[in-house]
Amino acid sequence: MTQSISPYWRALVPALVFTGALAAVFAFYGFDVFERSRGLTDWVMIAPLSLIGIFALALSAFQEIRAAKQACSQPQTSPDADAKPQPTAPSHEPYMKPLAFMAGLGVYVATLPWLGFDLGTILFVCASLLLQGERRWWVHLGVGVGASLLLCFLFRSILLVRMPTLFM
Amino acid sequence: MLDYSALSDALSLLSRDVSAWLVVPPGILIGLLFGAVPGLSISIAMAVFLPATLYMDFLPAILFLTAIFTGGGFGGAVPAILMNIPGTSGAVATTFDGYPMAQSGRHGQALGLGLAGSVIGTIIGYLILLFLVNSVAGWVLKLGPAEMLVVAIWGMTLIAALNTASFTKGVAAGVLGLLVATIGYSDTGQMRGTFGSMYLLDGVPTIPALIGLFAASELFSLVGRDFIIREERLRVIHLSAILDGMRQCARNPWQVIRGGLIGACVGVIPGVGASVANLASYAVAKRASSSPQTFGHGAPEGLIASEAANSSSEGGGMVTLLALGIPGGAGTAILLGAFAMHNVTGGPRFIAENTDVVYALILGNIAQAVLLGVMGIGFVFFAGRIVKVPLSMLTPLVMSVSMMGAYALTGNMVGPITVAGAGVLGWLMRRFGFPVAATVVGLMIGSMAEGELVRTIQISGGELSYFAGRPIAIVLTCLLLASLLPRFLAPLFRKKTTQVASKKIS
Repeated sequence: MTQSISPYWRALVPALVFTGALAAVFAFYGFDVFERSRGLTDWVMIAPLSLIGIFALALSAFQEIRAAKQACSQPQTSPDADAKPQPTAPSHEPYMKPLAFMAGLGVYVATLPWLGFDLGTILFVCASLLLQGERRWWVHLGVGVGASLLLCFLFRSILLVRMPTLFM
Repeated sequence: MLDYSALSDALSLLSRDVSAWLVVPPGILIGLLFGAVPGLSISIAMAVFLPATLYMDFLPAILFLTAIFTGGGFGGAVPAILMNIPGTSGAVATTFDGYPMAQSGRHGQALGLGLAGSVIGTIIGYLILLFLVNSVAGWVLKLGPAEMLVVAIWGMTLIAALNTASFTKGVAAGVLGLLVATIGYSDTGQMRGTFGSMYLLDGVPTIPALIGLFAASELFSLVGRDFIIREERLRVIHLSAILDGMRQCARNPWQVIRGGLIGACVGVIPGVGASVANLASYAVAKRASSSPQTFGHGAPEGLIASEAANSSSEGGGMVTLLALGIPGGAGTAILLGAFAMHNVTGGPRFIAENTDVVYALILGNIAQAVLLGVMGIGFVFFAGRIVKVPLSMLTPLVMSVSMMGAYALTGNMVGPITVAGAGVLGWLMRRFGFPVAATVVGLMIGSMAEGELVRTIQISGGELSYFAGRPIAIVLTCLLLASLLPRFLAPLFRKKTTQVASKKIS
């Protein structure tokens, strides 16, 4: 019984954390705008929307918890009684590689002012290729270096976008 | 309505001036390319190539720029269908059904449907412009804050119509977009949500946020996968599939005409262009469909509605430009720049004194749409091969292009930072079942909605009786309520039908 409950609640916790964080943002923003307002027109749309958003999120959280409780209380009817029950709330798609990609993107964006779009893009693309299992050196050379430089050339020299670069 | 002698002059002008036609194919190709690359926009393309029109005559210059506009109107559909990444804000609704079709191996058919929808939609938009350019101008001038507020509220109801997940999550997602759109300086000079950063004084940049919410979050989800289409045998693009899609579009004339009409009407309203037109048309098509549950899972009607509307809105937007000299959006603002470069000012006098030139522009654009159909077939045939490219290469390259494009849009690091932040937010939203499309709708109409609400309150002094003197606002409100009624009455009818059926059985 403990084994069948925990996947549902384990999946539910991140969803509730996200919902709670959104509600907190709505509350903070709505309150901040209302407090600084000098008249009706400053908050007439924002404050009511914040309240609507918080209410919708609270209701959504309640529905998620109720769905999880219902899923836990239903008897196991599948022929394979040892099969793990699937979580209900969030997607159970893999998330480690996307998280690593996002981290790499964060580093890429943070270092752009110093590395420039040319070197920064080369490093980002090569790192992404490695993350996704690409080990062929000629792919890293062609795609990682070649395509990145081509894109930088296109934006900087053809489209005349004044983006920071290190050596182009 | 039509000045036939000016029409005849326009035809002879177009047949005499060969240079007017030489610039159209390159313009369409440029538009297709810029529209197809997430991060590059049609307005960037038009801005980049605007100086090139300096030494052209007025007619070829405008036809070249509008060719870019026309090409870009469809170009955005290509990544929307193949990668779930709208190349332009006008292709957001195209992703809803185009991408599911691509995932099931029907990408050729989807591209054909989108192309035909775009071509016919553009023709409808310009035909409406041809017949109504004079009379619509007067109506556009009567649109005040009250009318625009009703349009904004109608836009907000799209959030509910597009919601395929839980209602509460859809509302929360829409509210998120609306609130983010209010960040920055308000119309009354209040700073909101800027945290002291001067980069946020103008608010969160909309297009980079859209790129982040849609493109970046989708790319995050694709990391670790091999190809866009899982089955290898489906990773081919056949010309016959593209043509089949175009034929299927032609077999649904009412869908295309309705999308075209909605797009043209929405495009006429200044500040509301293809980005809202495609969503509005999609929502209407879904409500009117006999099988709305298929929408979002590869329904061709949804794709046709979106593409017909985003392309016909171009013609609608030209109404305010030609008749009033007012740009309706970024693209028409650049066209206005081209007007100024050639010492031309749009407006009633321009139309009255140069009716043949106006008609030549309109007929030239209709011909552009036909040419788009021909060039577009070749373009999508080659672009469709992107499904063969491994995602390990595609994902980081598309992400890099999006970053560079976002930088190009804002001119500083705010663009890339917005893309990255919105991308993480969009990924989390998808993961926890919140509809990203609702946030995008809120983002696009939020600032307009607040601005019109504030102006309406200021003009009316808070008195509801103000609306009694605004017949257009009353008519728009009635239309809005009429469009929403079926959604609320349908469950009642269903319940009654079920009760009657149960009684008959018993």
